Amino acid sequence: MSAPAERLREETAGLPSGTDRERENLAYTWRKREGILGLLSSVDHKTLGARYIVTAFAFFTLGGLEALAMRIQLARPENRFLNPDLYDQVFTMHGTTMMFFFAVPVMLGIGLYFVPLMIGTRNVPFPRLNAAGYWFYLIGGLYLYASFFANGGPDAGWFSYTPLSASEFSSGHRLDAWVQIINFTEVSALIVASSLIVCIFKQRAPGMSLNRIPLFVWAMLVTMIMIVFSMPAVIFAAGSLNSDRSLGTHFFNPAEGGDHLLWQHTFWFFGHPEVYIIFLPALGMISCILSAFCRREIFGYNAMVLSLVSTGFLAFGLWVHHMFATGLPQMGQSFFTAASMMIAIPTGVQLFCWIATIWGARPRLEPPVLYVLGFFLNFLIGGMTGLMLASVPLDLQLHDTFFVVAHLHYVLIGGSLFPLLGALYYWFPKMTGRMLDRRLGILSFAVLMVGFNLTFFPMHELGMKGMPRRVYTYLPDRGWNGMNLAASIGAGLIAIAILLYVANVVKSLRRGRKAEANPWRAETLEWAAQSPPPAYNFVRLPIVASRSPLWQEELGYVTGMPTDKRELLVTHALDAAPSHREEVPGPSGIPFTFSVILCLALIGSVFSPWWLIIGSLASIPPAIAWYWTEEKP
Amino acid sequence: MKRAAPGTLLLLSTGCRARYAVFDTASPEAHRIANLHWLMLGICVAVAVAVLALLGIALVRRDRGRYSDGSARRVRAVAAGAAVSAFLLLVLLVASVLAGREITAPGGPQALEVRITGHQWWWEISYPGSSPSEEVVTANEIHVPVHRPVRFLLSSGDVIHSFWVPRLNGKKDLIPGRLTRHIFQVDRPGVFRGQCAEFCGYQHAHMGFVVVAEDPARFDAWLAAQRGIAAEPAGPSAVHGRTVFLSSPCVLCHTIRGIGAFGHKAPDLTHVASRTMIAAATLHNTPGNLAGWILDAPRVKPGTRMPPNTLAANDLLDLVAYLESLR
Amino acid sequence: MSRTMDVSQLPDAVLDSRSLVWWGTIIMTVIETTVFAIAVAAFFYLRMIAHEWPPGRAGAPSLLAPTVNLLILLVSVVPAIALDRASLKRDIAGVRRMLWANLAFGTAFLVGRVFEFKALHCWWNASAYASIQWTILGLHTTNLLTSLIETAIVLAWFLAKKPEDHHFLDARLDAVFWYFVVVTWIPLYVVVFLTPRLR
Repeated sequence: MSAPAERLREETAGLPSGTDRERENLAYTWRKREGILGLLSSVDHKTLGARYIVTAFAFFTLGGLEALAMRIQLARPENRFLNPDLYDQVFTMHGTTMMFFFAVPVMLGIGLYFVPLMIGTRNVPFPRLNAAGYWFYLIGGLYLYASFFANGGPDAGWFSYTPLSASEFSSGHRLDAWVQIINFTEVSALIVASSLIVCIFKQRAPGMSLNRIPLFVWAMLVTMIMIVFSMPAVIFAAGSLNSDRSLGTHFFNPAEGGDHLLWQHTFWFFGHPEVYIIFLPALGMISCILSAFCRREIFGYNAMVLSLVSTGFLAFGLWVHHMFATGLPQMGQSFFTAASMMIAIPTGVQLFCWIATIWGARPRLEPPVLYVLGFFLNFLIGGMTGLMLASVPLDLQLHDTFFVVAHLHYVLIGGSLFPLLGALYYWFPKMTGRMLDRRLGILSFAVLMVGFNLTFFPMHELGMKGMPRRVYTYLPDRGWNGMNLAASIGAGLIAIAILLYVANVVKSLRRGRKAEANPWRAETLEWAAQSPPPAYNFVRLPIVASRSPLWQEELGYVTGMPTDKRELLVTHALDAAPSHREEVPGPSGIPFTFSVILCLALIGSVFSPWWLIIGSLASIPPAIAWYWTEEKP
Repeated sequence: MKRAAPGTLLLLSTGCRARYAVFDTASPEAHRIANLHWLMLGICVAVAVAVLALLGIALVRRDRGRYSDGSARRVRAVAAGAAVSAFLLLVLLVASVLAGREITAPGGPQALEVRITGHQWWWEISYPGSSPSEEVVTANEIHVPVHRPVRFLLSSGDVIHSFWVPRLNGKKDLIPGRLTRHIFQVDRPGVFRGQCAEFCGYQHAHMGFVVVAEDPARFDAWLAAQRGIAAEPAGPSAVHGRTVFLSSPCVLCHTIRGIGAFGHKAPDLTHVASRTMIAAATLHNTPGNLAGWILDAPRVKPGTRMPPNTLAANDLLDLVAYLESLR
Repeated sequence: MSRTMDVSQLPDAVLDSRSLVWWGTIIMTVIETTVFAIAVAAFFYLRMIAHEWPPGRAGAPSLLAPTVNLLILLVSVVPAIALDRASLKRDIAGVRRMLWANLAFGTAFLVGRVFEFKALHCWWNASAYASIQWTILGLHTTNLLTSLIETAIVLAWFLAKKPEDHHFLDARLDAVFWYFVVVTWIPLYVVVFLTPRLR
């Protein structure tokens, strides 16, 4: 769609708006298909990113309802709201949904949407593969919930320790569902990770050398590399559990040489980096928000980048701190205490750099900044309890109690959800072309702050009073009643806060104030595109000469990119000098077909191994078609 | 009334006054951990308050000069922050390692050895004697002498469980196929509550146990009494109760030594009346509770392996009378 | 006065490591290598806690079939390198020949792989040792099958249609992926077939 040239020049903050003909050609070249086929065949990174985000929040809602159900059950001792079988499914679904179907995918979605815009390119490098990745994720989630609604939801915890999760103690298909959805979610994560790593290294705007990459993009790069190295561990673990359950292997059978700690080691080798995969993008978001609202670059760029990289690296050396009670040798455990404490240093450096950025800047206390301040308080608490849990003797008291539930929610909600909600508020104008309502934004922040702390702070006490985790009820004479009731009330407040946020989104989509290209006067490239960006992102690809391109005098731009072919400008990995142009495929229905067949094969394999064989064979024709069709405009 | 005293103590110690079990310590191990906790909490709170104060100041200050992202003063401030953090973390690390060493000392040759096997959802306790016939087997209630280290050898008969008595020490997992070790030494007589701390299925929430610490003489007497076979029932009701037991499904799972009942799937009942609680520290050991448990265990603990039992009213009463006579 | 940069003279296809698809392929091999690394770590973990390794019934795997197959694999690098070179030169006939050769060697290796499974002397459900051995072999076989299918598809295009530049890139990447299959197999051969003989 084209707009009058004058208005366009106002809307695109800094880049030339190009000629009408250029815009028409680009719009045609990069167009979607119509109707249902358009929905099923889209390969636009913004469409896919938005889908990941919306789908992730749908799962967040389901996970939240599960949390509310648990809190209702635990509000009173010996309550009969949920029987133990249902409770076990609900707490497993809550953890599995939040970790696998909300927290990681929402970060993937934001990365897919904003990384290409921030580095000044038109799309991610493997568009059809990314489309397939989304369908894997969606179908996996539907399968998990179909199982749950059929009373077949997994019920051995999101971490599925053996032998409870082995066939002897978990007969039927509940745990098979859990094992299978690992495949779906980890494949989609690996696909996005591969795409974004290549995108960040090879498609940056000319002039965006390594030391000019926005901190959010650095955070996403480290996160994606962590995904590449951690997901294989959970593939191996889940695959081994699957084969123990269905093929009779003995990975976790001590009678035939297997070991239950093998499960714990391989799961947590993935599981610990997983939480940093959820956390690191949030650190990047905080940098975006603070630099925009403090109207200055984040202090200490090199230190910030080094902190991100070392956090990502160190995260792989902590996993045994989930296993301190298993009787491993003390000297080995102490190494993991040291590593778990050491990782606080780079995070601390980031906090100090942000404080140094804020110092003297008098940022406007808009909702994104409020969420960042909420992060500071909540994440500090979570980090401190994390240090306490890193100590082996103290962990032996607090492990597997509500103290850990408090800690993990303080770091995940405080450390990731708060920045996420702030970032969505910040980026909402770019994604939708409308501003969110400021009053509702402040109100939903305030209710969340109160509700969240009311829910989870008492849980520290509960742990220290001896209440273990994953219990469907408790005896009335333990002294846990009051704190549990408080936590349940707080959970209700959290629900209200989320409802307010969603109400703000729904209302603003229709009646929000229209947004210009750069309503916050921020400095990164996504604000040079229209709000929302057209399919081709930028009429002319930008050239950058500093870390804060939109605060420069005027952006340079690239000429000579064809408008009749879907081509990306590929640049060199270190200094982003132009290298060549590479064509990428356009919309295609094949990724959807391929995903459905492969997903059916995996789901069917739960019921009979023939499905896997037939399904694998059946997926070869679409794979051939994938290669055969060029999907040119 | 030997049973009443620990029962009363239990009621008092877990009664309405809320207690922080982790700090209400009764052993040097738990005490050491509690001290470590206060040190860590102190340092952590101080750091958190300092950082939040800095943030607060940062928000209200107004810059006079130009902002440079590499300005020397700010660089020094951040570096100082990092250095102080690193130093404090080192302090915490050293404190943690030192405390860790103290709570895992092997205990020496004078330690009492107790073997615990976890089951879904009860605890099998055994005191190895000098010969197999001297072995004492009981369930869900552990007696220990005060002032003597107790070394626990832990394993599981099914899934992973975790042994935890917060007032006495941290926890240790019971892992099938592995033997783990745990140790504590109780400072003073008392009754201490424990609970399973690793999700193990439906009734994880109700898999509790009790540790009774008493002076050595009373402990020896208890152990000797537990070693004996089941007491002969006195009175027609109890005698009939024994018959009911032997002719019911009870014998498929439970052991009562001396009358020919050798089930191994469920708690040993030879001295069940000597325990303060039943159903893995879920119910107080009263005739009423016992009757209700026998009649319909799944109503109390849904998912338990003990099935409901259909018994005529007087059979049930006699059975309870018999069981209550097994001290 | 803003800067401009004209990119119309840049090539629109490259056949080397500057290509996005090349980078994607490399990342995929990194992911697969990580899976192998975890599997090998699990192998040595199980070995560390085992009383007997391999456990009594199995005995150490025989070496004849695996060693022969290893030699086939090492020789197969030659047509892979030739494929690589032919693609760079955009030599259609050469690429076709070498794709056929690759397919032949790959199939021979796949047949040999069946004998390698038999050389383990145990089914996957005999013990934890057997399970991890079958898993490592199975993972590598999956990569092998993927490579063969990829070779077949690229060959089909070179036989049926007129190849453009990016098809020569695909042929090169086929060779690169084959290098990956070979290079990962060498340490895995040592782990699976030689280490059980160590005491």
